[in-house]
Amino acid sequence: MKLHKLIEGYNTISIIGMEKNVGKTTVLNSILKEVRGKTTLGLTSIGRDGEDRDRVTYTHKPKIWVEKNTVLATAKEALLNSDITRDILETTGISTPMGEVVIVRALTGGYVDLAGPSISSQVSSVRDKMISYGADLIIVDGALGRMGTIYIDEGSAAILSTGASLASNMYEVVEKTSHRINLLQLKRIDNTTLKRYLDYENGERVVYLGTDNKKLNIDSVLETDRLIVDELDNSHTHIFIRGAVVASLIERLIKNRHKFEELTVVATDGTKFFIDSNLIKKAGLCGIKFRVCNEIGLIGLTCNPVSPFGYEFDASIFKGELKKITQLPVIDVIGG
Amino acid sequence: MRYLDKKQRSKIGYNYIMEKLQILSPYGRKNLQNLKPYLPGEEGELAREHKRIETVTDLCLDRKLLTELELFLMKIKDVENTCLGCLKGKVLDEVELYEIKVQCMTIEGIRKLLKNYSIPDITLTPVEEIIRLLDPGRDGLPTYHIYSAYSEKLEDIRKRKKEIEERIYSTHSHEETVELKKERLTIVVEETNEELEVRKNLSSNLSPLMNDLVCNIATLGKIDLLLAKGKLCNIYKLKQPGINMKNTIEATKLINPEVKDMVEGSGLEYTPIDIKLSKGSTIITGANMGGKTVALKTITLNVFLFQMGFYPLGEDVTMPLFHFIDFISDDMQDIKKGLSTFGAEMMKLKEIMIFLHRGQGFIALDEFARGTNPYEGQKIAKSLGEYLHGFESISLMATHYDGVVDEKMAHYQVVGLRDVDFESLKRKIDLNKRDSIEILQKYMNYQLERCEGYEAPKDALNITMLLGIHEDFTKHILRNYKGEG
Repeated sequence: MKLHKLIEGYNTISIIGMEKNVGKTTVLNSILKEVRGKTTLGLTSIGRDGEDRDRVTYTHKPKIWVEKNTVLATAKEALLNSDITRDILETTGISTPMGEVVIVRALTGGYVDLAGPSISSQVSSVRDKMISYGADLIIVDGALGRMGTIYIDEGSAAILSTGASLASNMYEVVEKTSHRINLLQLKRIDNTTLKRYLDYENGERVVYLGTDNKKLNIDSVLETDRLIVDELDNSHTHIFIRGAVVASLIERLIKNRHKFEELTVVATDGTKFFIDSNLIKKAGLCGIKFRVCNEIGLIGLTCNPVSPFGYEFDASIFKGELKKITQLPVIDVIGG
Repeated sequence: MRYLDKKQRSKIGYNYIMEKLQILSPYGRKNLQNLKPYLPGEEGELAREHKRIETVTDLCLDRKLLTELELFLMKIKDVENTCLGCLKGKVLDEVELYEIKVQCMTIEGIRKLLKNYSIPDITLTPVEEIIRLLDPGRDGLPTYHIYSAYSEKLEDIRKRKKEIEERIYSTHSHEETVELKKERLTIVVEETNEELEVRKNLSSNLSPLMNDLVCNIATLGKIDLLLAKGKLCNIYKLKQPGINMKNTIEATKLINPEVKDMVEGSGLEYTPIDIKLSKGSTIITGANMGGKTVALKTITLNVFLFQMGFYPLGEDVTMPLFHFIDFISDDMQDIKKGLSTFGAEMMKLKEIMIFLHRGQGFIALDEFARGTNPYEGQKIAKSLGEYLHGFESISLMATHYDGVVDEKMAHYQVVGLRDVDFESLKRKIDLNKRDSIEILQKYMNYQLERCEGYEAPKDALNITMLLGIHEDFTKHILRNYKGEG
């Protein structure tokens, strides 16, 4: 299956990488190549990507090649690294470590360096601006573990990228990917509960719902597991968490399982979970369920059998194993 | 600080108004932050500011024009550092050039909108020359790139870049693509180099024009603040105040928006204040809960607003410019440092006395010496009243001590419960005891009234009775009153 077929009908696509070097940029380039001349693209990233050299592993990374007329939202410093001739359309006032995010139109094709806003709400505003400058399809280069990871709205969808760089054992890669897909495809909380939550919450980090509702406003949900669990009492049936849901919190909940019979932990979306599959199973046995407020609309999985660390998997076996774990279309970005 | 410190400004309700001002641009905000009071001797300049506010207030009534101006101001970004860099010979990058172009287009837009209005001392210098440099194709678009029109060489390089790009797209061989991309890279380097040359030239051509832009930036800040002042005038229907050199304050219907919004927010009616003050001491007496403190805050707020170049919030206001403005009350910061209320008041007074000998000021004192024993407190307050009366400054003291006023001083009273049918009010409160405070506030007359007598009203007993304190206790009070009488 071709990528452009996969994304047909959506106006915004987020590409989420499982890890660095899983071929996310290759996916992006493939999409750009496939829709060349047919669609005006708007391109941005959440945070930074597209460096000459990956900052962590110093491996070679292809830069993103865009076509003439593409609209881009990228930080000033990244823009000045790009080799397209460009028309500056707007400076957005959104600042990043690489300078203010600037919106430009490519007057020629060329390589670009993407470093977009790092907060989801800013991505949303940049997306709207790019659409107002004529972009038909917005592509957001996202990554797990960044503050904002993905753009979710009506008409938006996401593609997960996985690859050999995740682990040298192929089955380990497949298992990790399977677990991630399960998290990303977590079901949305039922409408009644969601409405109760939305009516009650006011931007708090933690909200408890049950016969008794409670809000907890803390600066960050990391390292405050104790507080979150202490505030839980047996009247609560749901905990809504705005931010990352980490293993230590779930472990603490399990230790305190006398406090509940059944508990649903609800995150903003599936990218916010940082828990391994064993813990998920253990939590399930202890009466803990996981749900999300927004489904991310995962529409496909891309795989890259080549690792930049010098090994590669058998492309067709790898693809075959991945197909076993999901109904989603699996696309090998290198081999097709 | 000679003109109220930060905390005092916030306490009298000045910050509340500043937060309500609709400043739209970073230059306006900078202007507001750096706002300085007008000093005595600068009456002429203040009068010109009043003239400007008058013109702008009129202009703000034209909704269409105002909206257009506001849209322009909202788009403004702070490019002052870019201008200063260019003045010093820095080569601007393309984003900086874009920002300068857009800002100059905004300035031209505002200039066009304001061409039929003559605001004294407010002129935007034309920046068409800068726009011409940044828009060589004269397309008038608010976007920017290093245009090929700047240099034939650049045009040629880009032509080649385009050609090679087409060749890259049309080839299917990987090897050829790699070769073509290598070739393209050398063209890209040529392009970057030539763009740098263009930017160097452009920056040096722009440099002498940057002074105009820097002047305009200051003017834009002034226009933004003036519009905010004008809108404030329209909201509160303010008229141009008079500036007098006689050292007197006359004002009718003075208001304090912070208090007004609070009072009206709880469904009560707000009472504006009329007052005439001249040099020496003026004493305000009145019932507890009668709003003496509010009166002091309102008057001080308006004196301060006037000094800062705003219209006071009242009708028919005239006042002078003061050498200093101060406000002493018993919740001053020093109390936190371990001084008693009284000690803190005395320290503050000591500070003010230095200024008193140097010039004409405005001093508001809220219940001075309330924190010490009433016997001494009364004497100290009375002495302070007498002492301040000998200076050129205007002192306004609120006190509930009796016998502070003497025949030389002006005396205002908060009308309080004076004209209320006491029995009927008591019945109302008895019927609805839970809302006793609200009912009392509703019937309290907060107006200030000039009075000839010297005695402070004795509403404390009335209020005690109205609030339904146990009768036995009230009887004790009455007995003690009789004992004194």
